[in-house]
This record gives sequence, C-alpha cells and structure tokens, in this order.
Amino acid sequence: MLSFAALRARWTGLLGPFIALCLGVALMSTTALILVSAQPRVPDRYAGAAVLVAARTVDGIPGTFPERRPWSPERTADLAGRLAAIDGVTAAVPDRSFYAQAVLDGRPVGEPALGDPQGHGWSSAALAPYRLVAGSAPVRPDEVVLDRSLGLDPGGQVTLLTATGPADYTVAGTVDGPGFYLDDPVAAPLARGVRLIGLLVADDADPTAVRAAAEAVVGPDGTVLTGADRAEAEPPRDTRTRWIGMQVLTAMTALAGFVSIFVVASTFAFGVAQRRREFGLLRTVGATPGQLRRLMYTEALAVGAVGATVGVVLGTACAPAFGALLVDAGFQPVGFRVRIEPWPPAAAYLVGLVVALLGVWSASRRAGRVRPLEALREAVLDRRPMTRSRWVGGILATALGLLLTVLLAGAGPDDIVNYALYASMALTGGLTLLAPVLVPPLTYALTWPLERLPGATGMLVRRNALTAVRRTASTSAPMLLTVGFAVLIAGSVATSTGAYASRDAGAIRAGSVLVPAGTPGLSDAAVATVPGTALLPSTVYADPSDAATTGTATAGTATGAGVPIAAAGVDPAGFAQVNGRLSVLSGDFSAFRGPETAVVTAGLADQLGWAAGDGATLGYPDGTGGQVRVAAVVADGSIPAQLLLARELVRAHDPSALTEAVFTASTTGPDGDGVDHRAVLGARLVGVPEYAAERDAAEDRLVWLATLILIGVSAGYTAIALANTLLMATAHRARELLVLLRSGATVRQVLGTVAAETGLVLAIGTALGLLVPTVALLAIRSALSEQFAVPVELVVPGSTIGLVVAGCAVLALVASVLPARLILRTGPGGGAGHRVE
Amino acid sequence: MAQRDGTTRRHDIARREETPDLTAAVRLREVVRAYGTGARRVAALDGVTVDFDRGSFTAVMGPSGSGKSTLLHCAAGLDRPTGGTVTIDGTDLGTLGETALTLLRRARVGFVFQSYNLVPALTAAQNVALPLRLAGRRPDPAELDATLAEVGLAGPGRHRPDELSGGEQQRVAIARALISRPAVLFADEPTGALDTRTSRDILRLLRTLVDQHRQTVVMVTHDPVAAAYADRVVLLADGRVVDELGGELAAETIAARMTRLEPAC
Ligand SMILES: Nc1ncnc2c1ncn2[C@@H]1O[C@H](COP(=O)(O)OP(=O)(O)OP(=O)(O)O)[C@@H](O)[C@H]1O
Ligand SMILES: [Mg+2]
Repeated sequence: MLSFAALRARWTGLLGPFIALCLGVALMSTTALILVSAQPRVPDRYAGAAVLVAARTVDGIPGTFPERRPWSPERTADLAGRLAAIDGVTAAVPDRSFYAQAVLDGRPVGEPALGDPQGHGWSSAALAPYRLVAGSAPVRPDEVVLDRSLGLDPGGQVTLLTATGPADYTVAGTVDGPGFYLDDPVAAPLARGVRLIGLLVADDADPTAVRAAAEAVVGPDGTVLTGADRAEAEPPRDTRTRWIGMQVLTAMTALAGFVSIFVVASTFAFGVAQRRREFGLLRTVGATPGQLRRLMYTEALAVGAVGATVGVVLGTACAPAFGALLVDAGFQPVGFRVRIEPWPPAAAYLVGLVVALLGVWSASRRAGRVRPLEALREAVLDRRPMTRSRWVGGILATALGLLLTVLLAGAGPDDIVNYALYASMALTGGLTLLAPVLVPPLTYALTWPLERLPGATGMLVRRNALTAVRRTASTSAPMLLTVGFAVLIAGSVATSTGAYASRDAGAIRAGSVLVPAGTPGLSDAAVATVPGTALLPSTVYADPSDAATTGTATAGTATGAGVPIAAAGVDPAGFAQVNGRLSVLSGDFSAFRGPETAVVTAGLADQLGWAAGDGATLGYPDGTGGQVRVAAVVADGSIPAQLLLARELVRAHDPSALTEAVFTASTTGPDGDGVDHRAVLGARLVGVPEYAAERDAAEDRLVWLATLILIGVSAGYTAIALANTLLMATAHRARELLVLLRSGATVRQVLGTVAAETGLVLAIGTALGLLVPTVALLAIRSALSEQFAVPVELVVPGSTIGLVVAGCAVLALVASVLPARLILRTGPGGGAGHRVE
Repeated sequence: MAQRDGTTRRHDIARREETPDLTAAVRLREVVRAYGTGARRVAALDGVTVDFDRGSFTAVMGPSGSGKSTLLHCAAGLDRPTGGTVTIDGTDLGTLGETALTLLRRARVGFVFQSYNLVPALTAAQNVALPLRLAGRRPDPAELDATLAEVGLAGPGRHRPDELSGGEQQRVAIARALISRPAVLFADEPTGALDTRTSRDILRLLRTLVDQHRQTVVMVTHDPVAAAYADRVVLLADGRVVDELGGELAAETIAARMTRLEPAC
C-alpha cells in the first residue's frame, strides 16, 4: 500500500528512471535480437550447390579478416576434374570472379565493393542457380549475360568496365540475379585465382558419400562444406561488416546500460534528498532503516518491471526496422534479416530489472540512514552540501583524470583516444562530485549582474541558486555530462581525422591525384590517361622461409596456408619521387627496379626472417608463385603497404586488381596537361589534401556514424536525467512557488524566475561541461602533433555542441516551466500548502 | 543553585534505586544531549533525571529553548542522548541498534507533533494504520474504526490530510500514535497550532485516555491551562529539571510558577 501510494504520488520522480529503463531495455532487446540474428548466411550465389569445396583460409593481414588463398590454375583444373568424377556429382564449377561494372549513360553504376567482384564465368550462375530469363548463354567473347534489373534486353549493347578498362559487349541474355557473366574461357584470364569449387549434386545422390569422396580428393588442401556450414563461404567483407556492426551495437548497448544505471541512480538519489522529510516521518512512525531500503527497492522494481515490459515490446517491435537501418548504414551485410526469438528480449528484461536494482542501491542506503527527527526540520538550506565521501571521491577522480591527461600527451597514436576517453570520464566524474564546491563561485560570478537589475527575478534566481547549492549542483550535473561527452567524442574524432589527413598529405609529393569516382578503383585505361605514379594494391602470400618450395600453395607447413601480405604494385622510380616519408633502414631503394625486386617493411622482414639482399618466395593471388629479391628494408608506415612490388608483376598475377590512385606532378589540374579528366571513366582528379582527407572516407563515414550513435545515446540519456531532475525539483518547490505568488508576484513573474533559474543551471552545466573536453582535446592535439611532427589543428565541432546545448535547453525549459505552470494553476490559495512533498 | 539541585537529585536516585519502581514506564538518568563541539558546544539537556510513571499524565514546561522538545525526543528514542541512560519499560535504549530501537518505538511509543506530520499521499485511515503495516500486521477494520472513534473521528477516514482541518489532522495523528497501544504517548505541543476550543477537545481526549485506559502521557506545552489537565508538571530551564508541581493543579498556580522561572533564564 505504502509503496503503491508513494508511486502514485511521486510519478514526477519516477518518470526519468522509467523512460531510461524503457529505452535501455528496448535498445538491449533490439541489439540482442540483432546479435542473435547476425549469423553468417549461405551466400545466395552458392545456394544451389549442395557441396562447396573451399580453399584453405590464411590468417588475415593485421586489421583484416581471414581470406582463402587461391589454388594454382593447374591445381584448380586437377581438382575440378577429379571432383566432377565423384559418383552423384553432376558438375564441379570453379568460381571465377573479376571486377566488372556496367556503364550506363556514360557513368559506371552500382559501385561494387572491392572484395566482392560482380563479374563471373557463366558456368557459376548454375551454383545459385540464376536462370536465364531471356536470351541465351554467352558464347562469343563479346557476349555477356547480366542482371535483368539493369533493364537491358538481349541483343542490345552495353559498356562494361573491367580492370583493363571499358569494353563493349552484346547482351546475350538476362538472369534473375546479380552479376555479369562471360563465357568461361573469356572470364578466366580476367579473373583472380579460384578459391572455391561448387559441386552440383544429383537429387538421388547420398550427400554424406559425396562429402566423404570430396574430402578424399582435396585432402589437406581445402575444406568441404555442406548444409549450413556453407555459410563459411561468405565473402570476408560480410564478416567484417558484421564485426563492425557488432562493435557498434555492443558499445551502444553497454553505454545504454551504464547510462541507465547512472540515470536511475541519480534520479533516485535526488529523490531521496528531496524526500528526507517524508522518510524522517516514516522513521518517526516506526519504519526501520531496512523497511525504507526495501521501500526504495520496491519502487525501483515496480518502475523496472513496468519500464522493462514496455521496453521489451518496443524493442522487439522495432528490431526488424532497425536491422534494415543497419544494413543501409553499412553495419550489417546486405541480405541481413532479424529473426524474432523469445530469449533475447527475456534476457533484456532481466537485465533491465538488475539495472534498476543496481541504480537504486546507493540511494536506498542513503534512505536507510535518514534519522527520525529529520521530519521536524525544514531542510531547504543545504548546510553540508559536501559529504566526506564526495570530497574523497571527487579529489581522487580529478587527480586520476589529470594524471591520465598527462600520460595522454605522451601516448602512442592507438592509445590516444582510449586515454582521452578514460581521462575525461575521470575528470567528468570528479567535477560532478565536486560540483557543490564549484557551483557557488560560478553562480556568484554568473549571477553577479542579476542582483543589480531592478526587478525581483534576478535577486530571486541568484539567492535561490546560492542557497540550494546541492540542488543546483544536481541539476547541472546531467548538463555537464551531456555537453562534456558530446564535445569530447565529436572533437576527438574530428581532430584526429584532421591530424591523420594532414600527416598523409604532408607525406605525398605530388601536384594532384587521380582517384576513383563511382568505382571501387581505377582501371588501367583510367590510369593511362595521366602521367604519374600509380598504386596498385593486392594480396600476396609468403610461405615460411624454411619451406624452400616452388611457391605453390601446396606446402603443408605448420602455419597452414602461409602468411598473407598487403602488397602494392608501383613504378619504383616514380614512387621514390612521390613518397616524402620514405625511410630506408637497410639496403638500397634504388636497387628496387624491375619485377624481380621488392621493398619490405621492417615489421614484415622481422616476421618472415627476410633481410636486404635475400631472395623471398612469394605466392601470387592467381595461385602461382615466384621469387623476388629484397632490395631494401624500410621503416613501418613509411610505405602504404607491407611490401612494394613492380606494378607489372602485380598486374600479371592479379588481373582483377584495381589501382587505388595515380599521383601526378601536374598541379594545374584539368586544363593544364591536355587531358580532359572529366572524360576519364570512373575517375576524378583532386588535390593532395583532398585525397588525404578522402582516402579513408568510407571508413571515416562508419567511424563518424558510430560516433554520432554514441553521442546520441549518451546525450539522449543525460538529457532524460536533466529533464527528470528539473521536473522533480520544480514539483518539489510547489510550496515555494505558491509563496511567491502569495507575496504578490504574477504568474508570469514566477514562471520567468523558474525559466531564468533553469537557464542558470544550463549555463553552469555547459561551462563545467566545456572544461573537461577542452583539457582532453588539448592533450590529444599535443600528442598527435608530436607523433606526426606536423601542426595539428584543434577541431571543435561547434554545430554538434550547439545542437546538443539547444536540445537540452528546450527540454530543460519544458521540464521546469510546465510543471511550475501546473502548480500555479491553483492560484495563490492553492492546496499544496499542507503537503510535505 | 545548580549545586543544591545536584545534591537533591543524587539523593533522589539513591532512594529510587533502593526500591525498584515497577510503575515507571520511562526513566531518564543523568541524560545529557549536547550539540556541536568545543567552544560552540550547546547542552540542550544537561543531566536530566526524571521518571514518568505508568498511567500518569505529565506536562513538561519551561521557557523557549529550555530543552523540552529535546527531552521528549530523547525519552521517545527519536534522538540519542550524548550521555546518561533512557529506559522504556525496563529496556535501556542505549543498548539497542537502530533497527531494534525502531522496533521498540513502534511497539511501545506513540509520538504526536505540533505540526501533525501526516503522510500526505495517504488517507486519514491509511495514516492511522501505517504503524501496524510497518510492523507487518494487517489492520483489523474494527480496530481501526474503534481507534478513530476513540479520538472522535468517525467520518473523515477516507480523506487525505490536505482535506482535513488542523484539529482533525491532530486527531488523526493521535489515533496513529495510539493504534499500536503504546506504553507511553509523547506529545510535543499538540495544541500549539489549534484554537482554544479545539485545544480543549484534544486535551480532554488525552485526559480520558489516562483515566479510562491507564495510558501514560507526557506532553510539552507552553499553556498553563493545558498543563492543568495533567497530574504533574515538570519544569525545565537551561536543560535541567528545576521544579515539579503535583497534586491538584490550577492554571493560576502553574502560571505563577512559570513567571518566577522566566527571569532564571
Ligand atoms: N539540531 C540542533 N542543533 C543545534 N542546536 C540545537 C538543535 N536542536 C536544538 N538545539 C538547541 O537546543 C536547545 C533546546 O532546544 P529545544 O528544541 O529542546 O527547546 P524547546 O524547549 O523545545 O523550545 P521551544 O519551546 O521553543 O520549542 C536550544 O538552545 C536549541 O537552540
Ligand atoms: Mg520545542
């Protein structure tokens, strides 16, 4: 009865925890459903092949995901022949893929991802299976079968862009699936190495027998996948997308969980401070400390149960739409769908209850410590706003934050953001705890002019804020957090992105850069339009040095299928001119010339036991192998890959590779060198700074999206806390506001006072909130400029801050003026006089 | 004067301890309650020894700031003295933890404040039933009605405090203090906020409780007329018991004694 009545009478104080828990649980159930649903799927392209034989995976280049290392052409042919001979197998189709993009109206359309080429041999259409909708299979070298959704009819002409450049084809037919299909002998020379052979199996064949036979054929040289296991054949790109999505989702959910605890804890704590009288009264009437604690727990549980129920329903209902949103944003692979299962929402519900109980824990302890006689005192004046634990906690947290800031200034680039985050967390926590000390002088300074104004509002605002120090501190704390985190996250991302870009720009000695436009990379035809140095990235493989094999991928060594290396094909002389960051550790860079030589980074040389002058055995992406001589060992990070090879070597072994950029000496741009760059298909000429800034544009976009999501979640939550604290504080001041009304103030004047007080709280919160990230951002800047040895500009995203502050201001004013208006509706004789609350 | 008081008091204690008094509901021995430390130390109670006998009606009087409220709070276990002992029904409060003390208060002590102190969210009847519910008991409706009737409140049980008059609220507060049949009922200026007529009703109610139910009542008041309803008046000044009046009490006698006391502080 007691807690129920209390719940009814105190809805203002419980609204915040309710909304926080409701949103938190909604977010958690959505995330849990998405995480459970986010499993690898059998790629559509292989759906019709009962058995897949995939090449062995090699552990990824640091920072990427495991890839399959292609078989050699001979091995592929051998395997395909023997697999086709298995009883029950009607066909063994090697999957040959190459970069292809249609050009419609003079522009490349449907930009495919780098790791997901859309050109295939016609035979692999049977693996899906994609069937001819119109026309016939490609027979002649200039015939193509393509997706009917492109809207082209058999017999028509189409320009296809491949790694060599644009070429004209005749549409032979259309299929009911994505891709461009050429006759197999035409596709083979364009394609990268074969990594997968799909087996089409007769309906009456025994799958286990086929599987066993296939395993016997490939031996240790591959994996046989059947049924749901075939999901392992998904493109590594999808694995990566899903992984990024998971990171963002888990970060978001963890943040939501912690912030929920904070919101619940702070509103309940504030509630206890306001209800001391009520609790004192209950203690006088005979409530034990334990009963008060249980009262708080009951309230929290009731709020938690209702909030979590609403949250679970909301989260489950929104999960499919949110899943689609994630696919659009690039946080889940295309084709991802949310499966609704009962247990993830159930788990989220339980977590919601636990969060509510954790949040109320300290408040309940405080409630239990209320003395009986506190009912008799008018506790408006904060006599002791600082408790000892507040002092200790505040000083410790601030000291820790400052220490981390000092460490931050000397941290390595990878640690900078972590240190900044921890430092500002500690500083923010410290400032929040010390707020009762910091608020009076700030208030004093901020409101000094107010008392000199003729009206009563200024004086009231100033005196109220100075008197109720702890209330002012409590209400400005959420604002401090909101502003602090928004500025920190946005500022550190913007500053470090800018710093990386200016570092990269400083390292490139070129007039301008030809970059892809609407394509994943530059074709050879595009490269040829400008004089300059091209960068052609690819992946090669190294077998451990003791394996003095011929370089084919059959060596059964301890590390399995070898070590993948991020390589780049360049023109040696041109590269040396363009790269301003080159730092040769041993050997001679000028000895790097021709396809028999290579340059390696120190890190890779160490890993593989290579030294300048050594011969190195490499496996190429087409499955063949060869030897190169290490001309020079250079410092890590001084070249844009782990290994530099001659461009023609890379092109010869990776026919599908696309050029990342061409650096040209000309600074005059489109007009100066006689080439109309706008006419270059799928390319665009840009200045060096723009190139540096855009280089990781896709990556940056994801980082920025994740940043916005995190800011959104934390700012959203702290805004809830802000609104709720103000709502409670205003509701609690009913008596005081009525006294003002009775003293002759008009309703307008009282509301004006309330609004002005809210404005003051916002100003104090913003001022303190700007303090923390400024310290952290300055430290980030000095760390980055020391690391990169270039001046780094401090980027403070003003619009983000403005948006956050404006949003909070609107919310805060509504949350304080509206309840005040409701209170004043009763008029000066209003009945709130007797009420303790 | 302090010296002489001290000796008589010691004599008193000696005499009482020779013949263990089974009739005392509450005993205070050398109770000290000091606020602050060092130079700012204020002793609101400065060695008070007093007994409140079972079934007696005691009025505590004294100038403002003399420590009356503090005495009541210490005697009721709402506040803990800094020195001396308080015993309720033979239990030394100093030996009890916070929870045990609360349980004892809930069972043995009723307290009525000048400013009612009702829970605003609860109706009158719910306020009265609150101590029972806190004790984990389901209030018997008949018992509730009886208690409300006892304080002269039959009708407004369903109203919330802000819908009741001051006198009605004080009756609800008294009913709440009585519902658990406490050994002793403390009242701190229960009529301080009420008009003369309503005050008389409340005082007569307290008198009836003492006469008909042998309820022990200790009441703080400034009003000699109110004090005249009691069997005994304890006079406090500067945190010490300075005098006691007993027998037939007339308001005039009490008023005269009070006036003599005023210059003393
Ligand atoms: N919390 C406190 N802190 C410091 N001093 C206190 C506190 N409570 C009471 N006092 C002091 O103790 C003394 C006695 O107070 P008490 O409230 O018992 O007086 P009283 O006799 O009830 O007065 P009144 O008739 O005005 O109610 C006063 O001097 C008062 O200032
Ligand atoms: Mg008093």
